[in-house]
Parts: sequence; C-alpha cells; structure tokens
Amino acid sequence: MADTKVEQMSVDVVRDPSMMTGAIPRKDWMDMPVTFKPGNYCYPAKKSIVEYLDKGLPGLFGVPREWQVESDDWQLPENWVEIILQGMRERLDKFRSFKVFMDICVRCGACADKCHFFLGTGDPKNMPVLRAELLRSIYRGNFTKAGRILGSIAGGRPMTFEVLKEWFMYFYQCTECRRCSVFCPYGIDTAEITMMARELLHLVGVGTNWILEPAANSNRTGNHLGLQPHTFKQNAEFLLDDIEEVTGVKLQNLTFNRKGAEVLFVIPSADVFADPGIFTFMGYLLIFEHVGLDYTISTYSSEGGNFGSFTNNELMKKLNGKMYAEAKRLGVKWILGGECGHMWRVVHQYMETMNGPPDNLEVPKSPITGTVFENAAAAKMVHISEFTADLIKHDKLKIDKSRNDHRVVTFHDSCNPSRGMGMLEEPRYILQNVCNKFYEMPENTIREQTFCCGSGTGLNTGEIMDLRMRGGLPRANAVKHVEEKHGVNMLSCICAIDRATLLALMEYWNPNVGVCGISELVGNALIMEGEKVRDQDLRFEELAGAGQGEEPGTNEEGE
Amino acid sequence: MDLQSLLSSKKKAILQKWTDAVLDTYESPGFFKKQKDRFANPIGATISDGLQELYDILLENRELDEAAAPLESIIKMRAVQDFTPSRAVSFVYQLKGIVRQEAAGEKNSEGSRAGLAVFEARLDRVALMAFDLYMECRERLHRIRVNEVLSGRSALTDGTKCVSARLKREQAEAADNNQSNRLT
Ligand code: SF4
Ligand code: SF4
Repeated sequence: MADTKVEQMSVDVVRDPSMMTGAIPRKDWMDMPVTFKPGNYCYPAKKSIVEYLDKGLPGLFGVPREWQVESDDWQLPENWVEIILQGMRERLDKFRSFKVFMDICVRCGACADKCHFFLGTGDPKNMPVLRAELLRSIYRGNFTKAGRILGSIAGGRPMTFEVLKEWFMYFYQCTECRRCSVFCPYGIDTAEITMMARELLHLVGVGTNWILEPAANSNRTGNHLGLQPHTFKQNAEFLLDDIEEVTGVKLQNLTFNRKGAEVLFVIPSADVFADPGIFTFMGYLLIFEHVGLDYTISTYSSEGGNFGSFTNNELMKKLNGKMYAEAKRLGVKWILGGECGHMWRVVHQYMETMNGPPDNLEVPKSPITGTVFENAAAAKMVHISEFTADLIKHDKLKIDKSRNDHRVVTFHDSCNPSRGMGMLEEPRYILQNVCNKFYEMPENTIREQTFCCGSGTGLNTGEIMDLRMRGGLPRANAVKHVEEKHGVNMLSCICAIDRATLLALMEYWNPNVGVCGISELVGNALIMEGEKVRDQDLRFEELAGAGQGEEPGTNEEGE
Repeated sequence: MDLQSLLSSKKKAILQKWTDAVLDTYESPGFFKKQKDRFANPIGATISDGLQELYDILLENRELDEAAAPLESIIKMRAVQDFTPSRAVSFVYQLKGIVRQEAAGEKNSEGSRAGLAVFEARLDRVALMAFDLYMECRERLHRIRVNEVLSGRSALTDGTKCVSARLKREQAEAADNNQSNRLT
C-alpha cells in the first residue's frame, strides 16, 4: 500500500518542501556518499577486545582484527554481505517489531525534525525517517518482492560497502533516545531500528572500542571501568571520609557482598569513581543511613550500566544477568537501583523476559514506609527516585531545603528513565522537596519530549567531541534559556552517562552551569543524626549564608 | 540616500537575505528557515537572533566590542559543525556583498558610497573578531577533551585514572623513592 509513495520516496522525503522539514537537499540521499574524517567517527574496537568477547559469544562480534575506519578496506570477511543478509533474515523472524517497523512507515515526516542530531547538524540522514531508510532500503531490496524486482524504483537497493559505511556513520549518530518515536503516529521506534543495525554491524566485526571495551570489562570484573573488587570497595570507602568531613557523621551501614542483606543496591560504577557521580553516591549513602536501610553493594554486579545493550541482545542479556545472579547469591529480597540511564531501559523493558522471572526475589516493599512497589512486581527492582520520593511522601526524611540555596536548579529528563520507563514525576517531587530554587526548562524540551544529552549509547567518547557538541545543542540551548531567565547554575539529572556528558556539554555551551545527580541534592539537605553545623555541601563548597543559619538540631534523637 | 539611511530603511530585506544566505550553508536549510519555535530550532533561532544583533550594532554605530556576544553565539555553533574554518566564519563577509548590491541598486548610489568604506572597515574588524572567537572555541573544545580524560569520566582504556593502576603506580613510585633515598 505504502509502495505508491516508495517511488518518489528517496527524493521526496528530503526534497518536498511540503514535508514538515522543508528540506531541499542538493542530491538524492542515496547518492550522497559518506566521508570519514577525524572527529566524525568512533575508533574501531581493538582486536584483543573482540577476541575476548568472541570467546564468550562466538560469531556475534565478527572476526577479530585491526582495521581503519578511513581506509577503503575494512578487512571484512569475504562473505560479509551474506552474513548481514542472513543476520537480517534471522532478526526479521525473531523480532516482530523489527519486521513491523520495516513495513509500516508511511513517510509522513512527523519524526523528521525531532532528532537532536538533525537539529544540530542539518544533515538529512540524521532525520529519523531517513536513518531508518538506510536499513529499510536493504530490507526492501532483499526481502520484499517489489524491491527485489524493481530495485531502487521501489525504494530498495543492494547491500554494498558504501551502504555499510553509511550504517556505521549514521547508526552511530543515533543515541537510541526515542524522541522521534513520540511523534510517530505509528509508534515506530527508530531506536530499535538502530539496535538492529548495530547488531548487524557487529556480526561483520564493525564495532567501536568505546562500547566493546567497557562491555568486556563489565563481563570480566563486573563494571565498565574494569575495577577489581578491592579497588571498587576502597574507592567507595574513601567517600565515607569525605562525608564525615562535611557532616561530622561517620556512616556505619555501607557493606559489600554481605549475605542476608534485605536489599541489593546496584549503581552505575562511575558513581564511585568519577566527579560528579561521587557526590551522588555520597547522597545515596546518606539517605540509606538516615532511614537505616539494610542494604549491601556487590562488587561483582558493580555496574548498572549495560554496555551490552549497545551491541546485541545476547551480550545485553549476559551482562544484565549478573544482577539476578548476585541477588540470588546474596539472598536479598529485592534490588534497588541507582541513578543510571540505560540500566533502567534494560531493566524496564527487557530484564524480566530476558533473565526472569527471579523466583528467589520478593515484590519490593519499602521496609521504612511499608509501601509495596507494585510497578516493580515483575522485575523486582526499584528506582532510587521512587524509593526516595516515597520516603519524602511519608515524611521519613528530615530535610533542610535551604542547604541547597546556593543552587538554582533545573532538571534534565534523561531519555532512558523518562521516555524509556516513564519516570517523570518522582525526580521533580524530590527536587521540589529538597531545594527552594527549581525551574523547569521549556515544555517542548522536557518530560516525554526531552532532548538527549547527545552522547548516549556509547557515543560519549572523546574522539567525536565535535559531534557530541552538535548533538547536544538542542539540550544546551534550553539550559541557556533558564540560565538567562532564572540564573540557573545547576543542571540535575538521574543518569550517570548524563552526569559525565552534560558536564562536557555545559563546559562548552554554558560554562557557568554545573551538573549533579538528584541524590546529591538530597544528601545536602538531609539533617543527619548527630551532625555538626553544616557549612559546606558535599562538594566542600560553601553553603549560602553559611554560618548564620539556625542550629540544625531539630533532630529528635539528638542530645 | 546615505548608507545609514539605506541600512535602516532596508533593514528587513537585508537581514532576511543575510540570514537565508547563512542558513543556506547547511545541507537541508528549509526547516531552519521555517520553524519559529526557538527550542525546536536552535540553529535557526541562534543565527537569526545573532545576525540581527550584529546588524543593529553596525547600523547604530555602536562599539564593536558589543559584537562579541552575538558573534560568539553563532561561531560557537559553527565551530563544532561540519565546516572548514573559513566557511565557519565566512558569514560575516556575506553581509558585504548583500549591502553592496543594495547600495548599487539605488538610483543615486553616490550618496551611499562614502559610507560604504567605513561600513566595510567596521565589518572587517568584526570578521577578525570572528577568527579569534573561532580559535577560542576550538581550544575550549580541546580543553574539554583533556579535562574529560583527566577527570576520570573517560577513564577506562589507558589506565591513567584507573584507581588500581594508580595505586600500583604510586606504590611503585614510593618504592622507587625509598630506593633512591637510600642510595643518596
Ligand atoms: S532515537 Fe533519538 S537519536 Fe535516534 S533517530 Fe530517534 S531522535 Fe534521533
Ligand atoms: S513519523 Fe513514523 S511513519 Fe512518519 S516518517 Fe517517521 S517513522 Fe515513518
């Protein structure tokens, strides 16, 4: 049915000014070759890394080898076209959504101008509809009758090296953020199309080091940085000293790999390691100590982030499986997860079917408020923002909001928790309760319509910094607005990748705006039992009006 | 008509041409020209606002220092987009051509000719500022890359920031120091 349009499609979609985009390209998009040059591509995966991954999941990552992206010889196996087509055939059978997404797009163009990469570059192949078309044309050319017979007239084309290059270019200029899908009348999720394309690329050994090395590390040591258990523990414990210095309280409840704890707490590993995630981590620990939660952290499942989800289903499943395995080994009742991004996409969308149901776990119930998290009944995993919001709702946290008065805060909805799992209210509820100055960015840049940080899905690597800055432009542009209007100086979020990438983004576009996790702000505001007069925040920065505030001794149990 | 009056009476048309010319340097400019919501269209909004501000500064003979802010907003964007350095800053010069054309099209172009030299001299200074700003943006970008590596946010492959690698190295260094202390 849609095929009447197919004929014109390859030009119309970007040429027809009646399209929402009004774009007028110089040439038919199929004839515009890609050129790799430094700054517009990610470095390919090292041979040793692919060898390692190939041992666990043979065949899924292609033949281990050294290759250069700018070269015209990627050292592909002779039958690479066959491998791709066979891979596509299998996936069309296995994933119904993939087949449907290949068939039902009517090129209405509603998604075309919704991608941050298009908005930051003006490159038509960054329009979601065309991005998908890069793959769809191969589908048509090889798997539909019209396409096989009529070729490009029916919008089909054969799989060539030029197409492969295009895929590597543009499926690594998609952060799988799903913004486009919000606007698609058919619910086509280009993010899932990108996932499929990346799976196919990996099959012929075309992958990036920034994704595969963290994935290999996560598989080997449990976290993407490759930190070994003692290092992980040591680093986390260093932060206890900092907490003591700021609050005067020595926390007692942090344990590792403790069997019989009620709750297993899984975090993105950057939170024990990199600035500003470490302040978020300090916030988590303060919350748990404040309410006396019986929790433990595993040094083996020490990474929430699932770098496998940027490669293929199998590796995603394998890395995700560690959480349930550790929960079982430690005998906990349920799992609590920190402020992470793609961990939540995987948990929310795939975990239960992939590795569940976890028979040893119980439906999560807050031991402090008694709230049963029915929404987590299947996966048995609760988000820290749900947990904290519930504590606040039941008045279980003693809070001094004014301790965040030196922060004028706005909130970035990270794609995965917001669009991926629908968590929109909890973080806002927390912010409203722990700080006095909270301002939203414009409506069409937040919540379901949030703009991506521009560096998700393994694109947060240094060699493509230019590209990251372009992709993050729409987000930065909205931050700039609230900075000018309300004096915003802190961009908060609930994603570890965002805490890293937004920092770079702000350094470039809005250098006066910092980046933090929500739990850091909670940690600042919490009135801890036995604390000293707080004149610094968790970053050792002076509080507003430090030294003249009232005594924080509203503490019931205090002497 | 003298140039000042020309610039002011034809402001709308000249600005429109200038903005369109700059947006035409992008591969699919139609959307950038059409979409008026500044948050849905940051490139379009930044360029049209920036150019308007620059134009006003030139028209009203204001101090050229004031041009830095609007210039920066545009250059910052173009410095990370897929342009050569010359193309990234060339938009300043595009105004020259447009204004000359407008002036030449006047019946009595004598009047504006004198003003044109002064106007173009000022525009050249703006162009030089643009070069400096471009370089600053590129340098900032490189600094960010370095900062990212140093901060540990990107620490994973080289071991420079890996805590265990660092501990081992520190221990080795300490041992070395002890060794050399003993030797001296
Ligand atoms: S998922 Fe996000 S990055 Fe990918 S095409 Fe859609 S809007 Fe663009
Ligand atoms: S909005 Fe949906 S149907 Fe319309 S062009 Fe985009 S993907 Fe196709």
